[in-house]
Amino acid sequence: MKNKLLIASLCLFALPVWAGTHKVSGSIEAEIQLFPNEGALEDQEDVFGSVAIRPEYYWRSENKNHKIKTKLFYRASDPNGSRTHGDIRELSYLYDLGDWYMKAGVDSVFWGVTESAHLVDIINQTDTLDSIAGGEKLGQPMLAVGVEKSFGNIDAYVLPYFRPREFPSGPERYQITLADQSPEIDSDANYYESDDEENNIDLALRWYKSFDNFDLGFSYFNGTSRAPLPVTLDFFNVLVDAVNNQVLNIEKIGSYYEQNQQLGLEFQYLYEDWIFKFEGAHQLVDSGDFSEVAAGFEYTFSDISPWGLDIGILAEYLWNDRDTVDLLYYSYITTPELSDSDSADYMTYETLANFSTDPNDPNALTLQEAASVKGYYLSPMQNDLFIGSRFALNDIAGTQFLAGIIYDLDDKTTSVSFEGSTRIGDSLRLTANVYYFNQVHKENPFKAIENDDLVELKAEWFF
Amino acid sequence: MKTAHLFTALLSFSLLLSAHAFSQTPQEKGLALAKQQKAKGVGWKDSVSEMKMILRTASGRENVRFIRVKALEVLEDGDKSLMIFDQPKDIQGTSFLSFSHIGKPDDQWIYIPAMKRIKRISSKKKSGSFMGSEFSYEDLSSFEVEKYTFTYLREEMLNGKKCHVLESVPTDKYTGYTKLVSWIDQQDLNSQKIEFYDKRGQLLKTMNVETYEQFNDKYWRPTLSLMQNNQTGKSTTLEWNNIQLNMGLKEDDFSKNALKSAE
Repeated sequence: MKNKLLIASLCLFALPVWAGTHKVSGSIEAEIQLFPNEGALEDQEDVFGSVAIRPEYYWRSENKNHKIKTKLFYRASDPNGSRTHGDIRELSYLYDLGDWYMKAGVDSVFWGVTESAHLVDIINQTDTLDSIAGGEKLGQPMLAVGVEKSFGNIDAYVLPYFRPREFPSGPERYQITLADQSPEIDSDANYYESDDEENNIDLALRWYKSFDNFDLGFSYFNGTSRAPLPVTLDFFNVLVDAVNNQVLNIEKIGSYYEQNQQLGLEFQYLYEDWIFKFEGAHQLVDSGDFSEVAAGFEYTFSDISPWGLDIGILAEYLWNDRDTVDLLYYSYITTPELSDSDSADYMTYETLANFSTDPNDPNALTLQEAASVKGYYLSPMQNDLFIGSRFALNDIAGTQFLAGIIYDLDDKTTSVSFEGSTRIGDSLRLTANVYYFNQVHKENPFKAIENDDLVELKAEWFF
Repeated sequence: MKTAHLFTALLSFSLLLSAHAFSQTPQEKGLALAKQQKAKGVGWKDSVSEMKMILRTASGRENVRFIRVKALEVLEDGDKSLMIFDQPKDIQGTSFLSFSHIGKPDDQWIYIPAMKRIKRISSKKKSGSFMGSEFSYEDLSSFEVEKYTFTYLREEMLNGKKCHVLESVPTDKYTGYTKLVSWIDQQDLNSQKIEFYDKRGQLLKTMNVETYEQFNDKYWRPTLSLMQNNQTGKSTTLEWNNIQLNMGLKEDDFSKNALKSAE
């Protein structure tokens, strides 16, 4: 029914200029995920099977000025957890006049140059249910205008609707929570700094230019932060419990989205077989401004005889200076009775924050201290090194491998990834991915998912 | 005796052509020929075409590639090109933008539709295989006189056509070849056959152009070629279809935005 409506509306839209080029394409994927270790949470399962479909439709007018693109996505997963989900990845109209364009609809935008982290990339929300590596994004409603001239590319975006992040739950793995507790994340409990909530109109602007041997880009974003802060739900009762029993016991958390201004810088320099890359973002948020940097290089040995393969060596250093965030402070927003001054239960933030978690112990943490979230929970790549290698066999099957290690220089937590794929015939791609963690430090945010080492096998058929 | 024969033949031929030619060294003659060949092809402005590649393993297994190609002639520098991959299907929609240059590295970008990402890539990868075929990036890039030094070798008959035989040594240090030997027919100055010699000086590949077609009453384009790898036994047939020249393409058709919305 939904599909019929969609096709009908597309037809109507394009009717006056129906002639032109049409193309239907897409893929169907079967995937199996194996988690060799038992999960940290009771309900978590070990084996998941799923099927995903990604149909696409493209239309272009005869004079090539008008283009419509649709890309839908749906995944059915067993056991049936939160991973069963769908999305409109793209449904956009492009008015293309060569050196400038206008786009309206749902689409994805990629910014950035580095491989191991995408710091300046901010327009789309990550589809955390679909990809562990973070490559999948939710479609973002937008109005975009862009121009490309000798001064480079300038793109401006108006983003009228925000897509909150969804978190794995129930039987799913990769439930990243606060390390010392295992509260359940409620993906529907979303709170916003903006009074317009998810309807806040976000703005984004980017300039990018390729010079002879280097590229430079600046970007600015003003709107709802794509990454949420965790906030305690049922906060009033948590506080009562904390004061009475001297235990801070958080069972349910929701998401709080701050307003954010982000300044981004992208730079890459090409020299012989080297590409040096730099990406930096400075974020202005209420919980404390911070900066993030990813910088490194990629070196390629190409056409290595006698097999003619390419080997790329990648190294990137990741850094940020995000400070501790006071979870208590933002949890207020979830509990109207605490912020309502007419209520008998009204308490000031300061009064509450200074309650001791143990009145008999003068050295006990205050509630505020106990509830504060360390910055690296929110941005794990605080002082980390990524080293990776890319192998392309340059064979008929287009076989390639990417192996990488992210190593935390402070606490030695290591995560390793291996991704390999090859083609069978003209339309079938087989992929095998392995992700595992090694010596996760007890204060590292990966602690909660330490048991979620994964072997993932996929077969994707393209049409 | 034989050499003397050839010499007199060459001598009389050169004298017939022009008195000037006689004083040319083989290098000068080779360069002149290359320039003449390039000059004959100038002025096509832009092209739109479809490329079909049939990749064949030594045991005869075949794989097909379909690529749409747009190209823009750039005078005084290398050409611009935009390729859109249609098959194999798993990379369908991937597109490749290249600005080839004389005397400095080419600019190249690849667009990955699944990520919506444009990646600038290191253009040193000239000698590597193009999509698993026997053609390398270098074989498919635009011919520029400045990219080689030439030596005129001899005249020879090939497939009933009287040909110049020209040796070209690439000047780019990232090339995969020590030299190319081309058989260029004297009537239309089209390369009928090219031998590619690897870094050790061994014969690596041989390309035979089966058919040339003329477009816009002037410009010859190879429409069917066979590249045979003499060392591995693999081969690739390259077929060009629906070639259209002078379609009014502009710089804008070879921009980053064009790369993103190519389809």
